[in-house]
Amino acid sequence: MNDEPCATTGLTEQILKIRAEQLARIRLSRETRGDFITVVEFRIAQEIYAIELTHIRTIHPLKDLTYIPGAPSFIKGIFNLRGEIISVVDLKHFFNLPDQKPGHAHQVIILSSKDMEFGILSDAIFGVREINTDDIRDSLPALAGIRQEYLKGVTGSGIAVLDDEKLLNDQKMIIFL
Amino acid sequence: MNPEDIQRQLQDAFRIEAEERIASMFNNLTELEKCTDPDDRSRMLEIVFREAHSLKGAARSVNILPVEAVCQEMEGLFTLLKNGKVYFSAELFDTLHHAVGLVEKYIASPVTDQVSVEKAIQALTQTLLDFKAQSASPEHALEPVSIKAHENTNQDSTAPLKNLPELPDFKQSKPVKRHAEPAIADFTKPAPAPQAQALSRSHHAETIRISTAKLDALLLKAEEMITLKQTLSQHQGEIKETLQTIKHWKKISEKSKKEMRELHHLAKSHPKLERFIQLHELNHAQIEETDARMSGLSKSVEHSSRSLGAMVDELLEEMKKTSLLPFSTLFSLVPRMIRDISKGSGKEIELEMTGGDVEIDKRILEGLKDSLIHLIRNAVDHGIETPEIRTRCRKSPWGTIRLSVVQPESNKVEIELSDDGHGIDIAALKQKATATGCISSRIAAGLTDAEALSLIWLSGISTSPMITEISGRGLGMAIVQEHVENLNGLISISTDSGRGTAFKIELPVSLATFRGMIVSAGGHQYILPITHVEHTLRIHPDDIKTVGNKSIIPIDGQAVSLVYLSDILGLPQTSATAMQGNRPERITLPAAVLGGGDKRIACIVDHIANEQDVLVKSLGKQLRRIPNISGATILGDGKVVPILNVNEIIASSAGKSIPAIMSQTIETLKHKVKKSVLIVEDSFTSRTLLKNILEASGYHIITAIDGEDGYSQLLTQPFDAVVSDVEMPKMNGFELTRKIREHETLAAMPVVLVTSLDSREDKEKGMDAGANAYIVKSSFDQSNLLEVLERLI
Repeated sequence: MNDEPCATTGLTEQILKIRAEQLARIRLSRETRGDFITVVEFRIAQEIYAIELTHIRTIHPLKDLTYIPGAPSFIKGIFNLRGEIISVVDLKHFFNLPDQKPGHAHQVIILSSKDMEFGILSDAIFGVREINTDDIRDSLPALAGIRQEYLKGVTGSGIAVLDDEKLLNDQKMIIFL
Repeated sequence: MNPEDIQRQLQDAFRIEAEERIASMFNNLTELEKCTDPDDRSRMLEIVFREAHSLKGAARSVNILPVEAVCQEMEGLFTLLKNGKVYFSAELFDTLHHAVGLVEKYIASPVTDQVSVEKAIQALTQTLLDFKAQSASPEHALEPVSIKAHENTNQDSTAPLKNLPELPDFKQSKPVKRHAEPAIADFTKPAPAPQAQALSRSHHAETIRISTAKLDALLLKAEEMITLKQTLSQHQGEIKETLQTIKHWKKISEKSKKEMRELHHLAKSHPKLERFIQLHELNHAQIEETDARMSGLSKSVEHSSRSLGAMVDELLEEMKKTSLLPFSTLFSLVPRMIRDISKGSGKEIELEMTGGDVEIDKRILEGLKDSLIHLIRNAVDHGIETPEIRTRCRKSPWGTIRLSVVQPESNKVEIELSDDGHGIDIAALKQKATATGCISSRIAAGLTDAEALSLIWLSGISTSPMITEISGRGLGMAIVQEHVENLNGLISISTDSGRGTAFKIELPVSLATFRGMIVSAGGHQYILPITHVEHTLRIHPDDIKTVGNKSIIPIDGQAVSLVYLSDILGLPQTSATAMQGNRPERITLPAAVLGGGDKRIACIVDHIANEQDVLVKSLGKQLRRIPNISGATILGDGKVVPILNVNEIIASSAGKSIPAIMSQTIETLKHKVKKSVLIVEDSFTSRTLLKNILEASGYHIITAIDGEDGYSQLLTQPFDAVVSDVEMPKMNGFELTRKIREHETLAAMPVVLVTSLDSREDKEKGMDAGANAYIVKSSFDQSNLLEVLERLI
């Protein structure tokens, strides 16, 4: 964005000024309304999830998933991310949700930390947005079950916010058979 | 960088340097002790002196005072030895060995444990001082002068050392404060020291230290180029295909151009036709141009692909060389180790090592180290007898351990470790194996010697009655085998009672790439490392024999157990056999004979494809260990294929030898073609259940997940019957039955509906749709279904 050519310096200044104002406004609202987190919103089957950007390495279209025999059912397989092999997790299976109509996963969200890395299957990515942490509430009883412990909560609009740290540090995610 | 960082870096550097110097000191001390040739002695003495001196300086620069102190004393002692003021004696060597050992221990131990080592070092420093004090007495100091160094027939280790001449430049470079010494210049032969120094100086100019992490990262990048090379050659193939299509297109266009010409006379009266002909000509010109351009492109891509391929190969070859280390780095550990182990036992051991210059991937060398140490310890501890016993057996009193490394092929290294000890007592081994319950005594009695010898690889077996700290616990050999196999190597053993034992280890020179064979099983591709594939074959069902509930097949006169790869991997069986149509006499099963150590199995696969270079990649951070799979690779088309761990496959095949049911299946296969049944069921559990029941009864099963899927399967391949659920998404069982009945060729297909809908109404609905049988799940037991099918087909 910053290196896009501008016709005149006047215009550049104007754009910068507008941006500065916008940024200032966000800063202001942060101060008044608690913290914001930046998340990616995506869909798995019929449900909408959000996950913080912090640990997302990249989002990659899914093709050619290789099945790994002997791995737990929530491991959908491995795929080639620019010469590197990444394992892919189906959260539906991991959360033990009732087998819904099979989705058509097209995207993989790759979560990465120092000791752990895997991709999450997603049917569709909606984009990046900011969520006010004040807006995240404890999850509804309807979302009870295994999944609950991997959620930071649910937003007012019903988006389940995943706990990325918990997912990355969970012992169950390490496959050592 | 802050001072702490600098300090840490310095310490790391020191540790690396110290390790090398310590190893060199150990080796040269060991050699020195054995050596009688005065020239060699003075050369080696010079080396240890120099190492002690350099280590002292290095220790001082990182402020490790105890090491500095002990090196200082050693250095002083070496100087006295050089000048012939102190004698060599066994006691002296022990002390020196001990001193170097302590230094090593001090450096390796964490800061908290260093205090105790420090005390030991202090005590030792005193002993070293005592040795030096001896030189004070004049009779000691004078004696060496009177003995001529040429009298070296005397093998006694107290043989004095020839005095080193003092060359001026040497004196200058000597940084030690000189002890008062008489000018002894009897031998004026030039000392080898300055030469060695010059040599090492030029050596330093040509080498630099690079952290292994950096080198590994580079190697990895170079290895990834292989994928690029494969991708490019794939693209090249695609371009060629496209070119073929274009050429074909051009031919068609040329043909029609001729025909067009015949229409020319008509064109005059039909302006539209003329316009059409013009268009066609334009079109043809375009095609010709495209053809020419594609031909050019194809050629240049082919050219680029070839040169890139060559460049990648060369780059990788060179990169691999950078990570190769000579075996001598491992050999350097051996003399001292043998000395340490044999010391307490009174055994005398001669060590012969050859092939130290053979180079191998340092990762392999590292992985091999522990195993080799273990084997050598075994040889010293269990193999070689004491001098008394050896003399009684009319052998030389000293035992010999031979370690030889050869490189018979460019990517293969063979290591042989042998001893001339008493060999392995096979009877004792059998007894031990029965005692620990590994095998029954009945089986033990039937084992050939070679088979019995392979028991040594089982954990928990050791023939040594005595458990020492280093061996006799019986775990070692199993671990050794595992380590070697993890390096894609093979280990075998041979023994000759009373004459000794020999281990042979075969290893690839480099770890990263190997030849792999692509096979498919259960509809997926896998890679088998070629080193573990003895050969491939097609098995004729008539050759399969059943022993107990195991299927075996004779290969080179040996009964080899037969398994399906898909069974071992827990995959559904897409039996390629049944797909081969209605010619049972022509059915053969493709199989690979896999060998790991002494065991081998024949593994039936769906298909055996080509061989290629395979670059091993890990399965990522999440999949730390998956049974039967050691890693994965990326093929030229970007597809990821798992690499199988053959040793684990063989191990897990033990419980998976095609059971009686399966061999029945094969039995049926021998006489008739399996009946093919399509199971249409949306629930995974029910689908698997049905599939297992029917497969166990010898049917060939294809499954579909709903009516629509089922119907399309029916259209693509022949079936003998359909077993379908009723309630399914997309197309239910009733609709499916109706569609089958409406189809002209499928109409006569027997259809069995299996459902939980137990109402009379549903039953009638089923019959209306044209089902041959209607089985209610609640009353469902397998005999019912099997009976119905038997009747219908």
